[in-house]
Amino acid sequence: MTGAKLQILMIEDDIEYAEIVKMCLDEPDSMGLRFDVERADRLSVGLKLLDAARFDALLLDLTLPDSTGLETVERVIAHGATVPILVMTNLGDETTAFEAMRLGAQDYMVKATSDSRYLKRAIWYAIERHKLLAQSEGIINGAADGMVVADSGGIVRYMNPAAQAVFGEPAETMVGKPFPLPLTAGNTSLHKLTQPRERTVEMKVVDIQWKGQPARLASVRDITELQRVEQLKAEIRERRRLDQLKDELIGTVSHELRTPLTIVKGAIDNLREGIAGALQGKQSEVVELAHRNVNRLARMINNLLDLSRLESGAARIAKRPMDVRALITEVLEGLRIADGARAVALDTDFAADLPKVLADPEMLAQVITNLADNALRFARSRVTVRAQVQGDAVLIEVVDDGSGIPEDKVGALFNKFVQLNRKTGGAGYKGTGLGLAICKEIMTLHGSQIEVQSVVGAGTRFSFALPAARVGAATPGPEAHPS
Amino acid sequence: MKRRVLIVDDEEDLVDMLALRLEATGLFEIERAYDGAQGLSRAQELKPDVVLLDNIMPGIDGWEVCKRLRADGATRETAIVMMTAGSPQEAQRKARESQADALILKPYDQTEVIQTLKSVSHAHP
Repeated sequence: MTGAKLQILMIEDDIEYAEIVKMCLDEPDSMGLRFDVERADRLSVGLKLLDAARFDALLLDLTLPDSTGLETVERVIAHGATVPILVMTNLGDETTAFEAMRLGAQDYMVKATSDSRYLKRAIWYAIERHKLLAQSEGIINGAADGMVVADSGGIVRYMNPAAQAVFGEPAETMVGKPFPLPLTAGNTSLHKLTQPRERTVEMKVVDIQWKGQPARLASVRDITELQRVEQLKAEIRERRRLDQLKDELIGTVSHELRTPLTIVKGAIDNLREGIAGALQGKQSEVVELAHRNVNRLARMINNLLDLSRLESGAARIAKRPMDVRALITEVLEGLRIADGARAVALDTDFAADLPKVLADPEMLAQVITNLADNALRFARSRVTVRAQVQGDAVLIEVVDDGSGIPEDKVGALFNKFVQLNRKTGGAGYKGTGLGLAICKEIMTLHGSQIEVQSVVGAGTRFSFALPAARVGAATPGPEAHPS
Repeated sequence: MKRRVLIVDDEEDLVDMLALRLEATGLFEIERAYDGAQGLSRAQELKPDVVLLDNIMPGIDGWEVCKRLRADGATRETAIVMMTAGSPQEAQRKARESQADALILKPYDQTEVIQTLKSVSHAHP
């Protein structure tokens, strides 16, 4: 080492010895070490100097006017000194010197020696050893894992800051007390802590030496968050699996119900068409009845399957910008064809500058079908489907001039299997009691809801708003169509 | 001239009912197959105007049959109408992917099937 002089504080009341040391340190040498020595003749003065300036090393006599023996070392350390300490001891008192080193002194030197090389080397080693120690201390203090040293009796002797964080207690309250977890050296183990809050700690214990005694080092890590994340991940996996199961079940049930229904519908249709021979007398009445009711069963099964897909979360929404006007027109056209010669007029009323809306076209078609179909069965003479601009949204309304819904019945409208007293539709058409429940689920998926306004004797208005689609606002879902 | 329609569905009763109705119109000549493999070989052998194809069948399913017919030069132009008793949403997506001409949801009205067959066989002269 060359360059800056090493600053040495010597606390020594023996002036003669102090001068010998100074002379030794002033001697030139091949190592190029140079020293500035400041002396204090008592401990109290020395401690003040330690506070006032930075020293590279402290040479400490153990027989001072205001302090003697190991107490001197203890007082320096208790004072918070971080400087490397070399204890100066009289010949034959090496036992005390060793004790001093256990307390934290870096080295000792016997006063009888006045070999300058020995003295310089001792100071140099003490400084280097102290640096190394500070370095490992830095690592231990900065480590993310908690480290706890307990002696052979299980009493805590040391905790790094991370360990204090794991146990939620400062070192002062834990050092000197029994360590709360079993200190079995070996594999990593998991432990539950309840104070000051519940958490899980992973711990590994190894045998070490601590200040010359066998001890145990416990490395601890709070894995509560990690476990919570793992648990959440497992829950998500399980939910996906259940959703998939539900999906498969609904798919199977769907297939198993719809297939025989298709065949029965086909058979009845063939009878009606006279393919199995012309129907006579009561036969065609019976076949008509079967036809009506198999269609009713078909609607019921379709609605039930739709609703279970919606309610189970198996239905996936694929929103895209779409033309409401075209969709409503198409849906109503279908209703007119299916309805045939009904006396109720089915009108539309569209704002001239309707923007596209962001919606799932198939789901929206179902909502409009159900609402318009309901309205047709309630209306006296007219049903109007309207689309208007309302701020950043399009408001869609289905209005009938029927007898209206009493206020106390409006709340239950969207429940399953709720059907108000009403005349049946054309050709004895009966509803399923599921249409509005489906509409509600679909609108919920769209982040919207259906409003009902009704005046008894005057009619009912169902309405909902959908956000206008901004250019480039398409958010295709997982089942988005490639078009 | 009658249009030749190949119905491929593992539900024999369904095929029987539909064939009865379609034949009664006088517009169609009906051929039948009861699984995917049979459907493929019958389609290649008979060169029908339209293949009416169920999606869920044992062995090769309807979607796969549809894709293979589209991939085969001899049947590439054949009109294909898919039928499904499963989820409409999923079927609509798969019908697009496998380039079917139309999709019919079960339980259908047989008149709806007649309309669809008419329109796709016009589109594929």
